[in-house]
Amino acid sequence: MDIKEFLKNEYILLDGAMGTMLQAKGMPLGTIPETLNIEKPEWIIDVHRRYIENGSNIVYANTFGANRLKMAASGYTVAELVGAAIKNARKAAEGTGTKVALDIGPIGQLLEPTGALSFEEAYDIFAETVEAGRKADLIVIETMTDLYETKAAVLAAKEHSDLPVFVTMTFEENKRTFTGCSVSAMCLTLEGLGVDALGVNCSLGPADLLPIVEEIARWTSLPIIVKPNAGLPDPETNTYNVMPDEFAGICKKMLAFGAKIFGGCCGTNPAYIGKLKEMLEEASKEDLFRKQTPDTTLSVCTPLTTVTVSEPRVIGERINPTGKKRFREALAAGDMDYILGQAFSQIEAGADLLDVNVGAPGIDEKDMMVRTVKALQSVTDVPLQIDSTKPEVLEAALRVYNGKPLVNSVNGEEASMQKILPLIAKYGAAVVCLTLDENGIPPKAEDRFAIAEKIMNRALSLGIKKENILIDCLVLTVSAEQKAAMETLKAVRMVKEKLGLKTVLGVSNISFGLPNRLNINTSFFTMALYAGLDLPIMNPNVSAMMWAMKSYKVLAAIDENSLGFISWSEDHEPDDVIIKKLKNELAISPKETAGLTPADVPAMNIKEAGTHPAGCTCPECAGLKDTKRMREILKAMETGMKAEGRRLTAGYLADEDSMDIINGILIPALDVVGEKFEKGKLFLPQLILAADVASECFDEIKSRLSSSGESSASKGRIILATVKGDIHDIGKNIVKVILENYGYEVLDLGRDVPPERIVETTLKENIRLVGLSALMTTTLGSMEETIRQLRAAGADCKVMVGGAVLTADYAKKIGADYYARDAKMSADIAKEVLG
Amino acid sequence: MNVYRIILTELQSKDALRYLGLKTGLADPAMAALCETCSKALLSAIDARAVCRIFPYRDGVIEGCTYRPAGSTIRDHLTGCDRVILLAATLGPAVDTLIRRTMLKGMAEAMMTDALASGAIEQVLDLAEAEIFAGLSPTGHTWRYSPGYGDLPLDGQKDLLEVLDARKRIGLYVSESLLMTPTKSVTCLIGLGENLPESAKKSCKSCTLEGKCIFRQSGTTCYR
Ligand code: B12
Ligand SMILES: [Zn+2]
Ligand SMILES: [Zn+2]
Repeated sequence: MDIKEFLKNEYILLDGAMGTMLQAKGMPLGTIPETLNIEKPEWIIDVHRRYIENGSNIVYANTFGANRLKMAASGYTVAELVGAAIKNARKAAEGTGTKVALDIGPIGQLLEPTGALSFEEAYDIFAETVEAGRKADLIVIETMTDLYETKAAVLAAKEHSDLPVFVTMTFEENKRTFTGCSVSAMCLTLEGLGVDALGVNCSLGPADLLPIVEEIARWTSLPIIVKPNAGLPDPETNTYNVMPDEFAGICKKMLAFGAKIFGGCCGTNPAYIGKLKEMLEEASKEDLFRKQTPDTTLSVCTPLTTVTVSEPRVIGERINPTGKKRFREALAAGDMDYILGQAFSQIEAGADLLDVNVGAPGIDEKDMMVRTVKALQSVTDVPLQIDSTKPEVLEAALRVYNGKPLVNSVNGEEASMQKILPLIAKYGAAVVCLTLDENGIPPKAEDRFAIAEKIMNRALSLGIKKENILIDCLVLTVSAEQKAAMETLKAVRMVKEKLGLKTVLGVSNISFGLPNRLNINTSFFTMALYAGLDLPIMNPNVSAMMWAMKSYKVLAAIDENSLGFISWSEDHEPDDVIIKKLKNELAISPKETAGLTPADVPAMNIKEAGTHPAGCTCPECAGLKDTKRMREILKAMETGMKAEGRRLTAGYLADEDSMDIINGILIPALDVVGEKFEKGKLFLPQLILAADVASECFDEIKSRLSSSGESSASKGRIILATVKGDIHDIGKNIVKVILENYGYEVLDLGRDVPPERIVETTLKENIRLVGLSALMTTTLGSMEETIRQLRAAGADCKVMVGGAVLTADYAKKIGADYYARDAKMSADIAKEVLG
Repeated sequence: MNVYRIILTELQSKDALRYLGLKTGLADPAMAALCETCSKALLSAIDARAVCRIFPYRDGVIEGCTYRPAGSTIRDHLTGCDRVILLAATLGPAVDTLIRRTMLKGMAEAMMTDALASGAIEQVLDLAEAEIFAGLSPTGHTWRYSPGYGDLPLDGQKDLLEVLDARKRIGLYVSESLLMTPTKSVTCLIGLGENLPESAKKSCKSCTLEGKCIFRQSGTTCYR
């Protein structure tokens, strides 16, 4: 009987612990358990047999750690160990009908972004184990704590075999794994990837797993697996405290939640499995098995955050180069910080999801998309909407996305449905369907509805769940096609009512070509919400739009007792108040503030109140203005007022050349800060604070330069890195700040940086000064190696080194050109090398 | 084997300010404000855990333990001890994410957060240690000695963390290049025994950095 048939059984009994049993047999401390598959096959076979005698329907082959990283020191290959393990299990199962699972545990190395192992490498490592275990009846992926690693394992299992896949992750009492993954994120992501059963194993005893199993039942309709520990280990004796009877008794309570696949993890033995067997047979007689009924509202997630679309949610639209020159430049330069900045400001403004579109002429969109998705998920927990017209871009992003995303978009064209829907089905995403086809966008609501229905049916036929299908009825510009607005809204209503699908609209398109766009936008937005819009794609930084959303939720009785609105009001000022303040502050005419949004404030010009005209060059003005401006900026720097620094700079740009601002205002102010630092009147953290303000100012100038086509100039570029094997980067970061303070551009490669990367970047970017930091005697070796490789590669650069363990002598010995005792010296060295 | 979840309710900024070289403490209002915001964010990101095991120690050997510390400095450190505590602690992965995020917002915030976190792991160790000692009959103990100190090799990290089953118990990993992730993590050994010698107290004697330590040069130490 194949496993998928097997899954229709009332229950399935797994086995218990392997390690505990092997220790009892006298496995020496420190043995790699997988080597026993070859060295002591009779032990392994015996353990399997005892579980089978006690009722196991599936035994896990002894392959938990059989991956190439963990087995490197074993003296065997993965194929040898896995092959032998499966043979042993088969032998034990002979004639019993018991199935054999290839057991896959965590790799033992943490994945990016926290660890060094890339998603792609992890996939490769799992793929090797899967290939080696193709003779098994199924694949079990267990004891996982990282959703990303789990996804790599599931993809490897599915793409390198046809075997069914069971997955269990390990949760703590707070219903999260160590990496923070929630139960909902596990269920949404893994069910989407098409696993056959999922659940929880290890870490806790059965009683502590009860609430977790209950939570799992809320999020998945798949069969639920439970493999608890035998309670907690005693610190002295290492024995576990829950006995077989009690163990089975608590597991019985889980039947009501839909659990149907049971086994034991750490501390369990055949007696526990025997008791589970008794319990399950009884339960069968008493008819205690229940199928869970999870909620089917659309949810998308990252490991930490699940967004359920039970009410309207905001998709931030700003990560998109269309019509944004600064954004396109950031893309071209690979300036990830700029893109991440766009993400943060939208999240702070209240975005629930972020749309990510990085398509622009001359950009390798696929590569950029993967990098952007990875960068975003390394610093934010907000779910993403992957936005591209190219299937290969979407697929690449779907692979590396950690969680369940939304995809934007498929449309009613045959080619689009054929290429994109299978991707959605395979990766388990939700998808936005545009109501257009080969003939364009139909003017009539009924025809758009028909396209929506057509795509929906196609998606359903591919096994995509209904809740994962969303419809965008498409907004047209009202100034061009006045009747179109109402048609769109009509279509939205029809889709909601007749198809029961969630809807999406890009709301700001409506007002192109009209003055006072914001008024049109907010009115249309409210109408659309009323018609049934669930997910507006919009700019959350325009506060009027967020206010419209909050107001709607009050009026539609979604926001119970207006609590959400009230708390929003506490931290946000209504637009008219902001604009009024703005008017007073800027002393500009009402006409200029018309259509202004608070988001525009930082970019507004500040008019100097004075008798001389702006840009006046009389001696009085020249002197006065500079010192006044310099003092203003200096004050902002010393008090760490970043927004103020940016605002001031924006003001200066109205009447001063950018280079003059840099040389005449910013650099002199920085000099004052630096001087105070050297005299011990200011300390490092204050210097850093000042530098942050300065970088805001420079950034403002840069954004101006990029829109006017000028290019900026720095004094020179310097690589900084904490060498391979070292994480101590406080010192290196200080050096970075100092160098930036002195006008150098720093390429910060981070910490634990392999020599190869430093060499590669030095050559590629044509760098003339490389700074290396090491704080441990053990990492001086990697510092030396890095210098050796730089020289061997013929890099035409000087190397300066620093860090507490170094001495000038030692620095010389390992071939460095300069040794810096402290961070300040780095600036002198830079000056000598780069001028 | 014992696992502890350590709750920090407040961060001590003293260590952090020492790492950053801020001699005036929090007298500067901008610094005080920065420290405050960073502490708040950090406290909510910290999910600190520690795991320990206690072994008998005789004739320079930790009995029944696959981790064998090498070198003479650890031997000196454990002189007179009859038991050894192996301890590992971590602030959890959310702290690394937070630091990455603050890096993008500005160096000042990032470095303050980083330095505060480095101080916080010491606080966590203090609390874990106190809990461990509370569960033992009263006895003397040495200060915490970590792989990488003196001539105690760092490449013992793997075995040490293996013995503690640290990945499974507290989510602590060690990379091929012997770095621990999450980064704000520490491993150490603490000796237990009666009438321990003076050297059981923390000092800069036998520190790798003797003579070069920037903390010593400015008249302080890198520890409290
Ligand atoms: C803070 C700290 C940590 C923090 C790290 C925070 C971070 N992000 O960097 C934490 C608590 C996490 C930590 C952990 C560990 N640490 Co530690 N740590 C320290 C400590 C106390 C201070 C380091 C520091 O930040 N100093 C302040 C900065 C500003 O000084 P600096 O780096 O020297 O930089 C200045 C100059 O040197 C120069 N400079 C530095 N680099 C460069 C580069 C260039 C190009 C230039 C021009 C100048 C320059 O400019 C800077 C400013 O003036 C030192 C003790 C000490 N005395 O240094 C131990 C120390 C470095 N750690 C040590 C060890 C062993 C560890 C662990 C391995 C211990 C363990 N087993 O758990 C772990 C590793 C953790 C892991 N994840 O793997 C040992 C290393 C011993 C050795 N063999 O050399 C030390 C020396 C402690 C000791 N006394 O033995 N640690
Ligand atoms: Zn277990
Ligand atoms: Zn020292």
